[in-house]
Amino acid sequence: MSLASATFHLFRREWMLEQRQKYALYGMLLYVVSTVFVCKFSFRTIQEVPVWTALFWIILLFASVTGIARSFAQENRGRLLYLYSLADPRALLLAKLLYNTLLMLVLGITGLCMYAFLIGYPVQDTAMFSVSLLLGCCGLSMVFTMISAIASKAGNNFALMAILGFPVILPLLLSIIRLSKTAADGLGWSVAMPYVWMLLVLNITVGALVYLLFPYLWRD
Amino acid sequence: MKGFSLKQNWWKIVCVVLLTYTITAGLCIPLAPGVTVVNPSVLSTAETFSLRVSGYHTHFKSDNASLQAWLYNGNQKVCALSAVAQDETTADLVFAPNLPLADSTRSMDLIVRTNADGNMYVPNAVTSTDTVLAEVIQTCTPQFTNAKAQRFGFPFRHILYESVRNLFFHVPMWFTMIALFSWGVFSNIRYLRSFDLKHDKRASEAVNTGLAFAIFGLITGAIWARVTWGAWWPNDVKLNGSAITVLAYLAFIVLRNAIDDEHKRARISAVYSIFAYVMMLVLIGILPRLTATDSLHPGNGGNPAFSSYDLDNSLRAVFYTAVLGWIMLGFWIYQLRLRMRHITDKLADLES
Repeated sequence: MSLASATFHLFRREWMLEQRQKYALYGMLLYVVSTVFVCKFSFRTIQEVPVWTALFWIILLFASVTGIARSFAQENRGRLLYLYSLADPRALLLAKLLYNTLLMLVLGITGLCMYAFLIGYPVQDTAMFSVSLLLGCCGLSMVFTMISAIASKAGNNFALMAILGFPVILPLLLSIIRLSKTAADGLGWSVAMPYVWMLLVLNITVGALVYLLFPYLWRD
Repeated sequence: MKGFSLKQNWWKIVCVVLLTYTITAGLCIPLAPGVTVVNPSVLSTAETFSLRVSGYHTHFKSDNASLQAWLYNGNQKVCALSAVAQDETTADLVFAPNLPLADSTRSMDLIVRTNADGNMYVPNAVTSTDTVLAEVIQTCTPQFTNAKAQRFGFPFRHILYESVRNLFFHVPMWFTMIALFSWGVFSNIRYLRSFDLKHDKRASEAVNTGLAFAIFGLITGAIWARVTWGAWWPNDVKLNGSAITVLAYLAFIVLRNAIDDEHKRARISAVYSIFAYVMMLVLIGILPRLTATDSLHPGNGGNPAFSSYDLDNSLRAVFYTAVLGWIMLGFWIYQLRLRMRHITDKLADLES
């Protein structure tokens, strides 16, 4: 079986698993919505653009930690062994990455809608903000898929996921927040381009690292 | 027990020599003379005015004959009418009214010199409260023969003063940390290629030693920041970046302790360490240079790097040996820890 078709089948498997336990996906969405409500009650409205963007990305950061932590934790040992004997670990990784990126995009868009609806939408350049949302969700999903795989090997400790993930995610998060802020202030593409390049390079680097290192995590 | 082998241990002797030189030269070479306080610094220049300057390590009294001072606005010089030394470190300067101020800052720089001390420069020493700029432009050419200071010393820099010596302690700590962490990551990669546990031990000890240097780097940095910038922990991307690096490597240690099987531990921590190292390079190396405003460190956020004007030859002579010496010390400690690790592991094997 080629890598692409294996990836496709494993992706379908992820999707079917999600269908079987829909409560998990709805739980995630509810998590984002209730976090936005908590912010609504504590801040009421946010006038300052830096606070608005930072808070939005912190909400998404926590959503991605909780959402993606399941990714490897939900598989028990026997099932992983079975999958490993069937397919290339890289196919499994690619399927998980694809699925988690889609999940992050769904969470991000839902979160943004609720956030804009309840707290306000000071963004002047929506196209650029969408780019930052796309790049940010890709980056978050890749880093946390990797960290989730590492944490699942070390006894699935949720605290471990946070302490391993947060220092590593920081360069990405800082660049995303800067790009979103540029978009919200409507400063134009000439100001934003360094951050876009930075994020692209970071995404590609992280992707390459994850792709190269994942097989080493896998063997037991 | 084998005897002392010069072939294997020569670099330790070099390390001791370099660090002895660093500490004695770094702490004993005096600071070059300079002017610390100009009083008053904000004044009206409508009439003849006098300034009292306080010097540091200066020889105003003993070299009174050659004492001169002039104000400078970028292209014109105004000499003092008289310069009288009160004692070695205090002098009174009298200037004629109506200064040609620099347009942008409405201020002028002050240069005081004696033959013994050389030129001592105070940027933006005098700011005028006058609303009308001088129309009469009075210039002069200071008269002196020997432009070079007679005494050797570290450069006198405003804000830094004596704390410039911290350059030999604070900066090499980070260089040593980076060197040790790089060696750690290199060992991690070698482990993943060979699955030989000796590389894993190397990586873990390199990280342990590197972390100690990182913590010393943070402490010396905090002290330096308190002295020069006025706060223990000012807002600075580089500062926060290095703190996050420390956190990431502490997480690495927690991860190692969370896994019992030693091969599994070696493999998984190697993966995390490579991943974290690349992100750290981005965080400390690339991000601070990308953001234009929020760094106080030289070489970042639009500030010029050390080499372009801060680091003169007297500092450089000690700085390079300091970097080399501290890195050698780091690897020495690392080697000792590694040996200790081998022995404790062997003892544990014997007991079980």
